[in-house]
Amino acid sequence: MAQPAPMAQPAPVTGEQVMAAARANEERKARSIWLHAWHDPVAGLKAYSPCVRMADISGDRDSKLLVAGSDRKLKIYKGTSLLSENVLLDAPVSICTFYPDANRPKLPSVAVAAGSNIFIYRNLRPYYKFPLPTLPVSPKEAAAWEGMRLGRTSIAEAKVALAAARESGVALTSVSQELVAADDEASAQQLVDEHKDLPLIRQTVCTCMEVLKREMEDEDAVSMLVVGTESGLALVLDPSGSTILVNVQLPSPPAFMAVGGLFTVDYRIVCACRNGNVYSIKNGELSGSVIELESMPCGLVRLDKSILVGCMTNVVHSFHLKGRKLYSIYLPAPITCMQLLAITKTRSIRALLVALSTGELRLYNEKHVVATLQFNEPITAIRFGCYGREDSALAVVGESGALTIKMMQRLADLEASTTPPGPPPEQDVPLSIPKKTKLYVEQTQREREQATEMHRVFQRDLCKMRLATARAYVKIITDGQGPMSYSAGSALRLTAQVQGLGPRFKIKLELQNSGSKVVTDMSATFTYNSMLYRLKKSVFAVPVLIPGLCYRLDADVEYVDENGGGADAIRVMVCSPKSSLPALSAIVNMPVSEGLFSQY
Amino acid sequence: MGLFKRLFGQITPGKNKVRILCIGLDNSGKSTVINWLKPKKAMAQDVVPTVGFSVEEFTKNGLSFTVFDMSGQGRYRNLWEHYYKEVGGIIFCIDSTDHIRMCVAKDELDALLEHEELRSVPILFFANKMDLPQAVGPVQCVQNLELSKITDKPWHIAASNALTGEGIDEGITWLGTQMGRAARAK
Repeated sequence: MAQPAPMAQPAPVTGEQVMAAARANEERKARSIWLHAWHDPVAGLKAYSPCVRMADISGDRDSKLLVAGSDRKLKIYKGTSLLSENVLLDAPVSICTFYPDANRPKLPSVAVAAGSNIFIYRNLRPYYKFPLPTLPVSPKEAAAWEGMRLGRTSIAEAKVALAAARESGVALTSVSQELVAADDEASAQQLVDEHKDLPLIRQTVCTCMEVLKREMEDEDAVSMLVVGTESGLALVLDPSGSTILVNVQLPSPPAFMAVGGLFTVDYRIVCACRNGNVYSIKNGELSGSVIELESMPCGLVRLDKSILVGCMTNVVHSFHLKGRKLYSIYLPAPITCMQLLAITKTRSIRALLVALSTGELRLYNEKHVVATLQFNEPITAIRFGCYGREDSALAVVGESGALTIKMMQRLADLEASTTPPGPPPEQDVPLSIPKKTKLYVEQTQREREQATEMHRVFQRDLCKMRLATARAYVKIITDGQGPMSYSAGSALRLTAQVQGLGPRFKIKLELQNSGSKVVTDMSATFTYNSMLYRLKKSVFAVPVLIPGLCYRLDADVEYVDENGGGADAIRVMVCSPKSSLPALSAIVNMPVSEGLFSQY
Repeated sequence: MGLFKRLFGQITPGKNKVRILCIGLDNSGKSTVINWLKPKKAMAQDVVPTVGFSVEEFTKNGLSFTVFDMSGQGRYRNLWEHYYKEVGGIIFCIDSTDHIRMCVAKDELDALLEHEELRSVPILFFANKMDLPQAVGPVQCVQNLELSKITDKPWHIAASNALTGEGIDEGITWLGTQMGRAARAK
């Protein structure tokens, strides 16, 4: 016969072990996942997230950092040094790198969106300028300028006409706006002389720019620019950046765009617009589903199948691409920038980086914070990507213009599940339960066997106690020892109150007949220590007590002991002429009296 | 007897076989260092990024080396620790021109130093690419990687230029002596 295998006993867990494990877990979480690579406090950068990109622009597998600053300088960093500095023609809105063709060696072009042009650089040299399409000029405005050119209308008349056109909702060209705003005649005359023979052009400006891959997902696959304009257009340019392939009119100017998919297969452009709505363009068609935000968007990130929109109300909302809301992340401070953290080569991680105005940088996996990083100034731009030869580098630009490069640990734990929500670890600490003694065992045994008997004994004692209580109560209310009386054929109630600090007091009595019959010929009297107190009147006649009314009796008491500081109880009794026992009585505990005034 | 053993031990082939692991970040010159150690005939003309790892065997200073040249690319770095077993010595290559990734090298080194299998295994550091103008000296490397904190292992840093072989022999000689000492102690 085989012996039954002994049950595997779990090793006894002590409280210290549980707490130590919890502490170790905490420590591991607290250790930062970011390695500090480089910090340049005097980099003097003034840039926002769209103007900071990382790309391998020289094709040597050493990725560079491109920063287009609002001081109109394009700075390119390689490692810890500034590789080059180019002057831009206008303040940049966004900078992108894209691969215009599949020729080898694959070198990306750099596109800088500034004003109403997109400047394309190849090998860091200006290569091509793409002007955004001009907008139609209204006939009213054209007529005003025509009149001025032919000398039929004066400048003052034209100004009035243009102002009226603007009032009626016509969008004017920048020249006309300048003319309307001109204060003195000389400057207006100069403006008209300069511009009257030139064709009227109404230009729009670029608001955002992103890159869309054409037919392959590869990092260096042929890609094309997607541009948003102030006139509410979303344009997709061809890979060379010279012609417009797709032109979609949005209801409002886009402020942020997130692009995904492939142009020849299936693509989607998500636009967070200035009217507080998020529109989505699918394969060149404006999709019907619109996400209406409760406040203005201040950041947009596309994360696989979901869109993350940061709002001015310190919230990040997550929506499904089709518009269904998934979850919200509530933040303690305003959002300054948002960025996608995607690692694809070594492992597959997609997370959200959010920078707050407090200088805190948070990393969210789904809706769980997996890492935080504190900077000592607000962050204006963040970009995560490949820098140098490191695939997971983070570039951070601070408000003071400082540039910080961090690198993510290779084995950094970004799993949200490592912080299980639920009971604190203390809950798993076993309680120190004392050992079962012989007495305890016997007692339990007895309880189990004689449960009925014990219950019966308990019930009988309970009944006895209730009976004793009831008897005592009846005795109190009938012998006039309490403040309630039923003995005089009716229910009486007495309350007494002492007022004053001494040596003179006032005892206020309230006598109420709470029964239904009238009670007559009652009297209230006081018994007291005459060595201590003196009453002006110690017997009050109460000729009649009508049910429901409250009778007030005031007794003046004077404290007469010369030593002072003493106190005694005064007993109040309400008596009826029919009985030798008082109907009611109350004991008034007098307060300690203040000393007598010395009399000179 | 001991003297004879020592004398013959030096020349008996196959007797003093040692396993060496060559690690470091990508583009730090591991394969180039190993290439230089190989006999003239076996040298490769141009070195390409290693995929996974490659094994090289050669004899130097009377020791028969088996070198595991690991790839330094991020996606292959988790292979390193699988080869830590029965390792006689470690060559850690540092690209002394790559300032920005010193922190990554330090992180990988810290993980290596904490590993159980590598107690008292000698580590040889090569501060490589010394010929380049932006290179930092070995002293700076020691400071950046906080090598002075290593107390439980013998270590040595050599400034090197793997293209010309400068400094490599010095380092390998040190490693050979350390491993020979460890073998005799057993």
